Amino acid sequence: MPFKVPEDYFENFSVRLSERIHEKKSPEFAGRLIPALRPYFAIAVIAVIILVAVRIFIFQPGTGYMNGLKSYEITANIEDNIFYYSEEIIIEAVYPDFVSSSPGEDLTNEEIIEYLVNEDISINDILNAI
Amino acid sequence: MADKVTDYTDKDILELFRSAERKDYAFNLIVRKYQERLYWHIRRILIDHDDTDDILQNTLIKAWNGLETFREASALFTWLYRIATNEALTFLKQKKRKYLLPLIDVEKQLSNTIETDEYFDGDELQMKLQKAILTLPKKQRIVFNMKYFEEMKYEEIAAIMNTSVGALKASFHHAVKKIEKYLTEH
Repeated sequence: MPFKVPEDYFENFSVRLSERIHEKKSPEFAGRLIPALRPYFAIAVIAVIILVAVRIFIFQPGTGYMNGLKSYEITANIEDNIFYYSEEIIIEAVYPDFVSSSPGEDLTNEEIIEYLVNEDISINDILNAI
Repeated sequence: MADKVTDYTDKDILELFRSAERKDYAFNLIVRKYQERLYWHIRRILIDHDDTDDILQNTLIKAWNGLETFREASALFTWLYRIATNEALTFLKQKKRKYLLPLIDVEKQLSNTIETDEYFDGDELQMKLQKAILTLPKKQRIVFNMKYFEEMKYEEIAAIMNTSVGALKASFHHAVKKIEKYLTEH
């Protein structure tokens, strides 16, 4: 073979290998603790993210209430009754400057809903606009 | 008490390994018995000494972890060789991914390594031969190395590579043709 090895490589190899094997066999306490805690840490991080998201998107800063109702109550009410809100109210709330190109045309609730979905307008967008 | 590695058969060593108090001693026998053959097998795949050293260690650590449950369906040597081959191939794949190189460039990089490697001790013809071998597809290269340099039997290579003797003979034949062509053209 045209390759060579460092001097005493094979003579020392088994000693180096043995050190590495036995080093791997008994990890330090921190080495065992951190992997064990990792799932709990992940759960804690997810919980914090959810709490922050709820705080930002559901509660108005400093209040948590809107017109005497809690925000989640308003959201739930809109979700349950969206089909009963007239399309004019929804359009006016989301786009106050909207002028219909066909003012005389009646839009059905299904058409409104389809529009809202296609434009990716969420319940929260409507809630914030009201 | 016998202390030379050659005084122990693989069966003896495995029995020693399974007795808890002699486990380290038994494993040391395995390392001393097979380290050089495994080293050169890996070195011919990876070319670089430091990479080979890492992979050889990984191979033997895997052997240490797996020896307890080794069922002896194959010979110990075959099993070790198979681990070493897979570790080396995995290393090449990881290298390719790490540097976003298509495999052809990894082989080119290995070819360049030969030229600059302080641990390459061959003459110009040997360098040319090594470069020719590096142009082979990686599994064909491994088959060629085992047959040509290590003079292993096709049956032994088949057990390691988990392929048929017929396929190996064809692979080796094509490898020889490609190498001959390379050496003629360069």
